[in-house]
Amino acid sequence: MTGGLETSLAELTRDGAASRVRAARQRIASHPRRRHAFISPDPTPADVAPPASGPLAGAVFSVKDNIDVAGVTTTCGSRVLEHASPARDDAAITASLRALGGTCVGKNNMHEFALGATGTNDRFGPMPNPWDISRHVGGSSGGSVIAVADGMVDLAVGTDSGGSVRMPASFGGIVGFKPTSGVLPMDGVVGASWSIDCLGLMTRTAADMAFVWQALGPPPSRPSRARPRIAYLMDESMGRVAPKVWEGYLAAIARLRAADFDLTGVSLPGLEPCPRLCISIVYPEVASSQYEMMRTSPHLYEPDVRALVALGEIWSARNYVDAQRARTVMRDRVEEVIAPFDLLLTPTVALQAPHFGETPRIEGDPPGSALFPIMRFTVPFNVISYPGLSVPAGLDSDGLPVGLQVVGRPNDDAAVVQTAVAIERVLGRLTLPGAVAVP
Amino acid sequence: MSAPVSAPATIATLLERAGVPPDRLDLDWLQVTTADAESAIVALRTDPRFAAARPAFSTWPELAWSSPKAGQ
Repeated sequence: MTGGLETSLAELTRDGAASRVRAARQRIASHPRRRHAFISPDPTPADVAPPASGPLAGAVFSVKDNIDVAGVTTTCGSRVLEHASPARDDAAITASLRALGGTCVGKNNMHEFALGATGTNDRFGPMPNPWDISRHVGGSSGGSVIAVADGMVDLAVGTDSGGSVRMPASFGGIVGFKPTSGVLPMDGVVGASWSIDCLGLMTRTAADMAFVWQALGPPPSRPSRARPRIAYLMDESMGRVAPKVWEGYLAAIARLRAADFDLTGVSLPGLEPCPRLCISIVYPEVASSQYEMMRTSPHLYEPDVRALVALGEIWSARNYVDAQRARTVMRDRVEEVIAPFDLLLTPTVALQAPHFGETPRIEGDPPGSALFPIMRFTVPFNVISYPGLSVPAGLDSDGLPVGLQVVGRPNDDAAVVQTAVAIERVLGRLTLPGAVAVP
Repeated sequence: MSAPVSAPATIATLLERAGVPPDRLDLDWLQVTTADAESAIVALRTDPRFAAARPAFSTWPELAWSSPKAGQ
C-alpha cells in the first residue's frame, strides 16, 4: 500500500517509497500552514531518489530547528543564529532515521531556543493550532506538531525539557513521546539544558510510534506484564485542571476501565515544586551555554527569552545544586505512591490550548509564572527523568483534543509505547477535520 | 545560605556586572520568579530525605552521557 500520509507506517512498501516522498514534498509546498510549520526545507534536491530499503523507506520526517541537518543552518528559531553557518553534519538522530530509510523534508518552527510554550515566534511566525487557529498549538515543538497533525510528515523529532513534545502533541491531537533521558542521542542537538533535555518523537498514531520505536532499536526494556497494573490520577492533588479537560480525562479513564484495564486511582501530592526546580536547573545551564551569544547579540533575543537567560545569570550556584539534589526527593515522593504499579496515567495538560495572547490560567490557581499551569503534568517527569507519552483521549465538549499521559519508569519505554497502543485501540484515533491526504 | 535576590535594582546591578544589559527586561518579574523558586527550594530542604540526596546527574544512570542509545 503506497497511499497518502494517512497510511500507517507499518503498511509502507519499498516499491512506493519514491512516489510517496515526492507526493509528500508536493503536499508541503502547497500546504497553507507550511510557513507556520517549517523554518527551512531539507536541501536535498527533489530529484534525488529516497532510500528504497530500511523499515522507514517511504516515510517522511522533519526535525525541530534545534536539531542539525547537514547543509542547513540550525536557527533554534532565533534571530541570533539565523545567519550562522550551516551544520556540517546531521545530528545523530537525523542520521539514524535516514539510515533506517526515512526521508528528511525540513526543519520545524519552534519557540526561540525551546524556551517557551506560547506558540509564537516573532521572526518565523506564529504556530496556530490546527483544530482551532485562533488558539496556539503550544510549544516549544509547535511547528513539529502542525507538520504531523496536518499530514505533512509521518514523524517529527523535537526536544522536551518540561513538556515541549507532549504538551503541543496533546493540544494538536497527536502522539508525543519523551522516552527515557539519554536513550535517544543528543549529539548535534542544541538543547536547552544538558541535565534535563531529552529528544522526543511525534506521530499521528500510537501504532506509528510503536513502529518507529521498534525501528530505532532502543536498548532492551524490562519485560512488561501482559496486563499492567496502572495507577491513574484521580483528583487535583497535582494542581487544578480546567473542568472541560478533567471531564474528558475522566471519560477516557471510564472507557479504559470498561475495557478491562487494571486501573487504580491515586493522589500525587507534593509535586508543586517541580516547575520551580526545572527552571532552577534549565536557566543556569542555558545561561552557561549561551554566555557568548548573550554578550555579543543580547538584543537579537526576544525579550521573554532574554529574561529567562538573565534569570540563569543571577541564579545562585547553591540553588542550582540544591535543585539537582531535590530531584531525587521528587522521585521518592512519586515512588511512595506508584511503587505497587507498572505505569501511571495523568492528563497531559491541565487546560485547553490557549488563544494567542491569552495568559494560561485556571480558576483558583495561586499566582505564579504563566508557564506553570501549562506544564503542570509534564514537567514533574522531566524533573524525575521518567519517560512519558501523550496519546489522544478524544475531544472535549468544545471539540478540542484532550491528551492522556502515560508515564513509566526509566527504561520502561517499550511498556509505555505498548500501553499507548492498547489505549488507542480503545479510545480510537483522532482525525483532523479537513486534513487532506496525499493522492 | 545565600540571601535571596530581593530587589529589582539589585537584579539590574547583577546583570550589568555579568555583562548582560538589563534594559527592556521585566525586572519585577525576574524578582518574583527568582524569589518564588528560591522559596520552593528552601522549603524542600526541610524534607527529611533532602540531607541524604545527591545531585541527580551524579546518581541516575540514564543521565550519564555514555548510556546505550537507540538508533546507533
